[in-house]
Amino acid sequence: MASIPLQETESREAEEAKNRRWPAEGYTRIPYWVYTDESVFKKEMERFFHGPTWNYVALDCEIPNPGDFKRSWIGNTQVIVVRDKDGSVNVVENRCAHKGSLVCWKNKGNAKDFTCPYHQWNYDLKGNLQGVPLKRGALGQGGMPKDFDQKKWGLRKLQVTNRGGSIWASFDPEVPDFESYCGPEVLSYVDRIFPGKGLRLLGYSRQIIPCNWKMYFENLKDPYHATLLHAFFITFGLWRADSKSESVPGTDGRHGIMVSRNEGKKTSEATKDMSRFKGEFDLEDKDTVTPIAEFPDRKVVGITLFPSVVLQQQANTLGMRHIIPRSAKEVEVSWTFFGYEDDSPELARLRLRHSNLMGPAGFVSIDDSEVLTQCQFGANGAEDGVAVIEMGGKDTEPQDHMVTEVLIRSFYKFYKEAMGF
Amino acid sequence: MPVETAAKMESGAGMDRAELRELKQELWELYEDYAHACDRQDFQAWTTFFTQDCEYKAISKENFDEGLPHATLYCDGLGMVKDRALALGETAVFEPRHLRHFISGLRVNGLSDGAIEAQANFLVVESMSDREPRIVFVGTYVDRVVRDGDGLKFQSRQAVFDNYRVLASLVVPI
Repeated sequence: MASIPLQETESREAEEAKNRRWPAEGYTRIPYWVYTDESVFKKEMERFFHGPTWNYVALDCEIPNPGDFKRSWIGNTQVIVVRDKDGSVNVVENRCAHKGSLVCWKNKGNAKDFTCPYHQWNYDLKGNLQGVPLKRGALGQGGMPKDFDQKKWGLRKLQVTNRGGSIWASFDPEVPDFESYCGPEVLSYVDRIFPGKGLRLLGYSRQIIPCNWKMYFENLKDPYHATLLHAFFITFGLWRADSKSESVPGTDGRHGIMVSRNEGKKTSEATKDMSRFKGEFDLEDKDTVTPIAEFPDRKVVGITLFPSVVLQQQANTLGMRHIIPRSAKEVEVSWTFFGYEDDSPELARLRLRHSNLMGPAGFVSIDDSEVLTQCQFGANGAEDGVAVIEMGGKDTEPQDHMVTEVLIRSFYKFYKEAMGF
Repeated sequence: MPVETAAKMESGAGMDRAELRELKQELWELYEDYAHACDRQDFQAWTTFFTQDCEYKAISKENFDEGLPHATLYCDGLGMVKDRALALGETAVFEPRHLRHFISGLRVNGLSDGAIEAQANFLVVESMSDREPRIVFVGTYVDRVVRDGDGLKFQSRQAVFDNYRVLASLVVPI
């Protein structure tokens, strides 16, 4: 796995970020300025989202036909994901080469080509500039200079990979191939959810959480919180400290694999410490917490695939949580819920029901957005403070239980080095 | 447009003006009582507005317009409505907030099989204990209302919100 190389030229903000000093304890500490400092944010956008990384942008089933497009995001830059006439997928930056206007003003649609509404510069589905109105002037006057080279002024084109119907893009032409970027373990879980069979789009839930994007990412590397904060999970047996589980850092720690199992409602030694375990409550409609076993390994899995997405498989929901950072203190999380074309009617019904666990109104996810909001408030007033990340030890080795923050330590080990802190 | 024509168009079922006015008054009471239960965050009271075979969705306009079935908050049957009320009261962790639902633009779109197809606009303002009020949802209720015992209940209520993105979380049902 190639490490992310330092860029030769950096913005003023990225230069400023160099003055930051990480605490001497290393990756068992997280300085709060990583959540608040806009110069750090700018550097992250340059180095990670615009750097040699693969970013989730869409699912195949969102743009099934030639000319179908959707707008998506890589970091805080908007892109157009469009299916070309030959069935392949192109990703181009949604910014006119002329004056910088967004070229595409619709979230989804079908197009033969893209025309910027401002001066009607026209681009083909690959992003090539194919027409400039009044290029030769009018009545013998005006027009572009003779040396204007139309070939040099297309939309910015990105590298694209399609893995089993999940579509990924990179701004960096030198990005390693998707397989080695993921590493074998993360890749096996991507392939588990995207085995290549047809996908069925179920819909979107989008939210803006007033917290740093890394807080959201970390939360999905933190099985410890899920055993305590999420009373719904604990009470109804979807996620418990006494479940068989795994926490596996992917490649150099940037990715993470969090594995558990749906156990059902029960009491045990561990429920004594789960103050939010509500033994006396039961649901009227048990379907909400009773998944059909659809994967032979019976695992439930959350993958943090750096930097842009969480792949979620919990109960019978499948979701891509697209992480779209907007500023140091705000992140958009766009959830795309999907199933497979060959889902039975019963499985299709349960997918919709179980998606109630997740998203901005999710039985468990409400807790996350609320807590992360509070974490950001805490960090805002304490830039010199630090978080302590020592649950489950101080190292970064894979662990086979939930009472650990190993994935967060692994992430910050990677982050600290990649950012040059 | 003459009032008679408007009334005919609105009812879609040949109701006369007096009948329509009476029905709208009854619907108004239902809508306002519902809004009041949400504002009070009385989740048990919220469950009493639905029939046994009800459907409740808080769904984005994006999904609604595209015909996508996923709803941000989804209850299929009264059991799920009651479970949502239980979870909000007992398991969900959220910052205390005050909410106000504003309802306007009630329309009766039609009558069929004993059910009333109706719609109204909603606007929800949220205030946290140490922050200023902000608009968190704007949209349209798309409803199917039936007579159940003495009163009216929702057989289907879809709160279709215009928001492209939910601001942090949707805790209290719309």
